[in-house]
Amino acid sequence: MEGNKAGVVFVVIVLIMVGIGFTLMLNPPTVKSFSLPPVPSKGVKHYQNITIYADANGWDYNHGTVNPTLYIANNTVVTFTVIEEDGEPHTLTINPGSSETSYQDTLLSTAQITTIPGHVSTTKAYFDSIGVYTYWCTVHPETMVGLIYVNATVNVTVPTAHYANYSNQTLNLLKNNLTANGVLYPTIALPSSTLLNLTIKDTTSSTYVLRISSGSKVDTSNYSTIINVTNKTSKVSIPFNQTGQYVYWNSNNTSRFGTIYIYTSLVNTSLYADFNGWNYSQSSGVNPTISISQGTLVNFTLIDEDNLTHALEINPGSSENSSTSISVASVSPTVKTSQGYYLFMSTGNYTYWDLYHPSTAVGIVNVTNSSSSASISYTPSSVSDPGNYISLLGIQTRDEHNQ
Amino acid sequence: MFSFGSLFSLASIGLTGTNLNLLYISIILGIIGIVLFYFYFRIVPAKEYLHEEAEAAGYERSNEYVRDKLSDKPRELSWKIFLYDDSKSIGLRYIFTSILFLCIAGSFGVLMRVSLTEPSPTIIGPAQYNVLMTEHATLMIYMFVLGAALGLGFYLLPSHLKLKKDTMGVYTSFAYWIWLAGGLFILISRAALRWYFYPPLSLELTQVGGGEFAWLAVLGLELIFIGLMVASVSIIKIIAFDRSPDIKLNQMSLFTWSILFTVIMGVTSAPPLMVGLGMLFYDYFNPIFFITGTNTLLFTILFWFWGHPIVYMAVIPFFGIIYEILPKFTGSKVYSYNSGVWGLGLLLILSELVWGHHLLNSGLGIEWITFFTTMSFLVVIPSAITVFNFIATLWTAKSIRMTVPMLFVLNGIVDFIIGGITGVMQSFAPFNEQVHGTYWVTGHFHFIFIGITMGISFAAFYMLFPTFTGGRKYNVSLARWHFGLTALGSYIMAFAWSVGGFLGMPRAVAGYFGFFQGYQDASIIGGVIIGIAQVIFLYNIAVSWLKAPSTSTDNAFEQGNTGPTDSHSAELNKVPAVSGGK
Repeated sequence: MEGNKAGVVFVVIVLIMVGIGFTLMLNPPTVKSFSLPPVPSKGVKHYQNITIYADANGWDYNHGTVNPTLYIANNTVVTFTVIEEDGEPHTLTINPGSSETSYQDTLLSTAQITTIPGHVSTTKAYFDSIGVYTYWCTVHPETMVGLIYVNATVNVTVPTAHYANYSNQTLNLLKNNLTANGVLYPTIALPSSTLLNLTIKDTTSSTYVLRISSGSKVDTSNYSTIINVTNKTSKVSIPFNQTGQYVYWNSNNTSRFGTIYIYTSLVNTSLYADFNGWNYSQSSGVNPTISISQGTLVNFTLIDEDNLTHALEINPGSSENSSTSISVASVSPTVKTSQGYYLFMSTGNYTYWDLYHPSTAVGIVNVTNSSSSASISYTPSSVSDPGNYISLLGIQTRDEHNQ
Repeated sequence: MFSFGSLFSLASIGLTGTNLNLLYISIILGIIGIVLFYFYFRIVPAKEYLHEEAEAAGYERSNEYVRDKLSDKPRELSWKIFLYDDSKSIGLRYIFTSILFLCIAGSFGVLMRVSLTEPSPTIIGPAQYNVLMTEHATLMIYMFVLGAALGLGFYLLPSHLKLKKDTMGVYTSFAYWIWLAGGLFILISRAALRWYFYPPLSLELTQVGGGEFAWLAVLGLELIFIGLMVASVSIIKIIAFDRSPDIKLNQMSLFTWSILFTVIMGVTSAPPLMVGLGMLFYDYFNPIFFITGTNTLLFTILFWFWGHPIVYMAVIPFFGIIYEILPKFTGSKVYSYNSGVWGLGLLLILSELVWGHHLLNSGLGIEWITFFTTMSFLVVIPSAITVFNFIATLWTAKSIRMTVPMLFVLNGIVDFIIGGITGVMQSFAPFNEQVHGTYWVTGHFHFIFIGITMGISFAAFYMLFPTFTGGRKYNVSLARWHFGLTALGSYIMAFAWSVGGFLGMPRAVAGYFGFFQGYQDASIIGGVIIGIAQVIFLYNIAVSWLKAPSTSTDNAFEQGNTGPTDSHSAELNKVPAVSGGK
């Protein structure tokens, strides 16, 4: 800084520091950029219109439910129509997660909504990942805040109940397979109207895509991408509204998958396998007719009685049909007990039978739509075994629905 | 395995993952910094360097060398100021660092203005605006105002007091570095706390709260206070014990008095907030102090007990500078030395008794409101004494030379009168209720801060420019443009704010109602004009410094002072001073 250059040096230092200051200030830790994906020109599966009224007392104040919870199917383009109500400035702001953060995307600003009562402003938003979002107004964050559930389910119906149930499951990715507590692709059984909070821990650093589809098999044509994992740990909340069966798989390996059962009620029962017929030695009588209500997930425990090999097969209809049947559980002289699920989705008769002794061990499951009972009953008599806690292949799940 | 996280349960305050790693890096860098700092003080620096210089000049003891050759002689800016530990070197460090931070924080101010071109935030978002506003205010107050006041103090006092020894260097150097570190901490914290750091906002280390690194700002402010304490004690020691025996207390220059009052204000009113910040920082780990509603008010009182004196610290030393500059260009003495000292002294006392007028709307109770309002009205008396003293000095002058520093002084006096009147109006409780939280307040203190604090700093800088540069002159016409645009811009900006604020324009928000568009537009024009003026100032420094030295480095501003019976000063005061311009 000696001599005649001192002034220049000082001014250069000042300019550098001002530049650093600007860079720091314009990227403060309070601001993280988030934006909903752009509306794609094709590949959109659903369209939905949502109209909400902007009022400082809450969204849709004086219009039914205040701050309504919005349910949207995944891959939906939503047209938001915001109607100004009270002459106050409002914004329509959306962020991922179930609470307000500044990691947000303001779809409609105060200038767009304006303070003219009755002014209508619209915007389009595309939701392409499953989870919970918060929609709110940055001017009135305390009053005007609601939730958006982006569902995996394809058909969108608004359930009457909110997600009263709450479930936490952790899945670890090992190579290309998902495990929990060491079990490969564990079966997840949850009551309907459940928000599944899934934590995925990638113990390797491979990239993977977790997908989910409806049905009992991997459907590579009609699926939802739950998560596109590039991080070590990801969290995602998946709302499940309706009873049904889903499979989840890793896009790297479609041959392996896990099942998610969403049930209205869950019962546990034991079946004793004997070549003379189901429950041959039991008080219920041989091959009892099982009566349950629609939407019940039955947790069958198969117990070997005669040191022979047995496999429990169930298919819809009143007769054995090996093309539609699903193998629920099997026992052998070395594996004495086994466990498996079957979700009875529709009313009518199902046939349960033994793959190895189809002529003797065959019975009927009668599914009714009586909503009163969440239990299982046998004809002639009952050996039901409902439980509040069940162990799903090592995962403890609280069955709140049956309480 | 040992983990900091488990030790302090940092996860419970939101420090996880990346942030936790950042904390570890910070701790490691901090330890490295402390080690380097130790080497700077013990191995490399001042003592060795100064010793060699002293030996070369034929002195055995470097202290004597500093006293005879450095302490009361004009000093030129060079890298050596970071190696010497004498008061003038440290004064230069403070002065130039304060100009640096003036530019940083000022650019934030201009950016904030420009971002308000439309009622809704367009250029920058509300979160960024909050950060900019916090940084503008905090850096201006703690880095520019304190830096300029302490810097001019450290630079001018050795000459004004003819020091018999100058041995506080190591401590003041420490004070400088710790103050600078604090400022940088605040800069990189990017907190959004306003400059008051009120809990519970400052306890919310979230994206939408005070900012994830707000704790760094709390630490930085504490560091600044430690630096201020050390520097204040050092100045008090210099004034009380180290001045020449020839200079009696009632012969000290008015600037010395003003600096003395300033540092007394610092050491008496900063400790409550230092303790408050300590409690605040403890709350990050174990929230017991400020988490409930009533204790939040306690913090505001701890803050404003310091917060009002600090704004007087932005004024009183610069009144002292005005007292020093006026005689140089009027050719006469200050009209009344005694009333000058008493005026500044009364400001010191009253500044400690009016903090509550910042909290008139927080439910202090009518008795306290009456007390604080009355005390605030009483501030008019010493302010008027001081202003009338300025006017009388001008009035009795035979001729007034309108040099650039003099222009800044005259503009500062007018600005202070306007800003002072709008300030006194605010202390009237019903009126305060009306204008609280509006741009009226912003207009009030920007009149004073731009007119007095910034303007008089520029005046002093222009006075000292030939000395700093080793005998170079600044370009007068550029300097006049700098003055003219700064004054014009500040009037437009602060007037627009005052009028808009009177009509209810809320301050400290990233947007405004369309009704106030005109006032905002006017203030944007004013702010941009001020910004352009500072670009001219920087250009003037760079260009003028490139020229060859053409004048003496002796400086009447530095050498002569307003002490009443000092014959040397009286003689110098009669001689019209060099303005530094050609």
